[in-house]
Amino acid sequence: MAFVLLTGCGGSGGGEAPVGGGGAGSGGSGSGSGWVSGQFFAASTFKNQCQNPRSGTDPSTGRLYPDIQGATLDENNWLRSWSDETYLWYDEIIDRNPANDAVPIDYFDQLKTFEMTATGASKDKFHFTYDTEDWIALSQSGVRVGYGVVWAILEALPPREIAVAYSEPNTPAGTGGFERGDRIVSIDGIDVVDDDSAAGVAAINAALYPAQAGETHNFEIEDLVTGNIELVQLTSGSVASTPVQHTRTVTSPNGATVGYMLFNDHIATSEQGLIDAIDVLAAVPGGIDDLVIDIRYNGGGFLVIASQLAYMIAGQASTGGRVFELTEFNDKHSAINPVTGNPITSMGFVDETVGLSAPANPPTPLPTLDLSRVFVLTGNGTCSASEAVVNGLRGIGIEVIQIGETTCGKPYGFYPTDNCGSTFFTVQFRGVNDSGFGDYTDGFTPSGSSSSTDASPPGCLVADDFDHRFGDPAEARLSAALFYRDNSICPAPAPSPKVQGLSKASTEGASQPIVWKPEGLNNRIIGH
Amino acid sequence: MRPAQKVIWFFPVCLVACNNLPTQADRAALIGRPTPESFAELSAVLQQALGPREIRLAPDVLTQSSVLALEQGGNLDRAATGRSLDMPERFELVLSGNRCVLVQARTGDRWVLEQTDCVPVEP
Repeated sequence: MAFVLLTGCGGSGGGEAPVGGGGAGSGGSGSGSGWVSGQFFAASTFKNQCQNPRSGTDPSTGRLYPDIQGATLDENNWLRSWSDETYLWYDEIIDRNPANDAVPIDYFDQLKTFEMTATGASKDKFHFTYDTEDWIALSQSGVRVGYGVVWAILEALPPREIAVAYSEPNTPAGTGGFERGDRIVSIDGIDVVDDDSAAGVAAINAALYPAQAGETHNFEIEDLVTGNIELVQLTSGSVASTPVQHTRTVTSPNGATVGYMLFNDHIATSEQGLIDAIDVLAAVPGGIDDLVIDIRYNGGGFLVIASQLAYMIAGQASTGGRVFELTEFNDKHSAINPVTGNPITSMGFVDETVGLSAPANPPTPLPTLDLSRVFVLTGNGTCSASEAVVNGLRGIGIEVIQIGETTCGKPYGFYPTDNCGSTFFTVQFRGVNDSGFGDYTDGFTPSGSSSSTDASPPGCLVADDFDHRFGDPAEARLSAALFYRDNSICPAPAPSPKVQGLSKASTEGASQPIVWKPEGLNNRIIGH
Repeated sequence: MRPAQKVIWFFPVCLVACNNLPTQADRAALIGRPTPESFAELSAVLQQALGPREIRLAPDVLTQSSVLALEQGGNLDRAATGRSLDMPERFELVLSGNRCVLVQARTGDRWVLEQTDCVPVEP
């Protein structure tokens, strides 16, 4: 991926290199760095000047690496100027002498706002780096190394409780019968619930999150519905996720026909998956009365898919000519995208296929449900492009009723940018809807029967429920949605998990289960 | 990073002269009978198209869909990719006459896959 940075955007330095700046001559102490607080040279002045320049062919461009010999100070100076030019809250960065940090990533960590939100959370929760080699690695859409299951760690310490959050069809776990809510009893003969030895914990972690393909482990698993315990052998491999699952209709207590789908990732393959799901629901005889989209584990992805989904929910009459999301940069860039150099334009509601996985030569009109409201089931893993669906629809007056927990709060995005072998992620833009709203840094939180602010849709706080399958009308969040649908109020809070024994369904106060995606991250989350 | 292929299986066909999107004569296709050779051929073509980087494919790649999308950061935290304005690299498998051809959407470049058995997508 190539990234273009505009130059000459910051401070009084203009485009001329500082005396002693660039190349080896810029290294050294603060007094020799040429640093003057509040004065910035163009980031291009320092780009690709590296303490350890790479050689050979850059796989992302097919050309030789642009790196030249420089110094750590040059890398820090690039970070400083680049942040000043493109960081969304550049004016909240405390300008620090770039000569004082010997490691560019440490310096980068300081180049952010440390302000807090109204709730006391960090304003910027998304500031990080990856090795460029890791970042540019490509995966077939949705393909990861694993078994095809995402675990939910309900209790990390003995007595542990580890459940299946969800599994993927046509994977080792899917064909092995692993389904949501099933509990792990043992792995390779190790008692998952009670083993407290260091060796046992290490073995459990290693088996849960295989580092590579070809690892085989024996899982004893208790079926949620039957209570039967079965021994299943799983071998890790490159498995493909199915981002849209469990599409069906359910009947509310009052007899309404309600569509349901689980939507886990805005990855390329979800374009076709969502079209198929909407086709199914649009073909229901007599139509559906309401729709519930389950995005509790959906961390986002391609924004264009969020726009397509919003269009398919609301239809042409509600979305035509409206803005799904407008990208806003910092106040230095009101007209031109500082990264691409293109004029800043809004994204409308995309009404046709774009070729991510559905044929688009020529583009095909998307199916629609033409609904005036939608229910979304959310959790703290509901993030970014998923939140954009909520915000985009609310921006055009579609009623969004939120059932679940507060979403992650990421109306922001970035253009990951390489310099000297590290890829830096700094918040560069914010998405706002047709009404101009994009301030949900603390996430969307359901507010009961009425919406109090733009970040508080109507709906009910309901904890995750690992004691029912997806799409089961008795599942806590879906059940609450159906109740709200029939009564326009939230159901009475369920008993706490402690009272209810094994059940994890509750409204508030329960510790958050850990559901980390993707499964191939080599997470180490079980303790002793 | 995956080591470079030592056996070159790819057969690029006039990258400039044939730089065009799928034509009306192209029919969307699937790999009908995946083999180690067809997988290696596809991997090699992708390496040539996208440079020497790790590219993870499922063993049944292009057997269920004629479109192959390759995404960055697939193994990283979703925070890295949660709001992407970019499009992924996309390829489409087509039958051009009786030849199996992989077409890169972004560039229109086409590669004939000699070791791959293609079947048309059923309407």
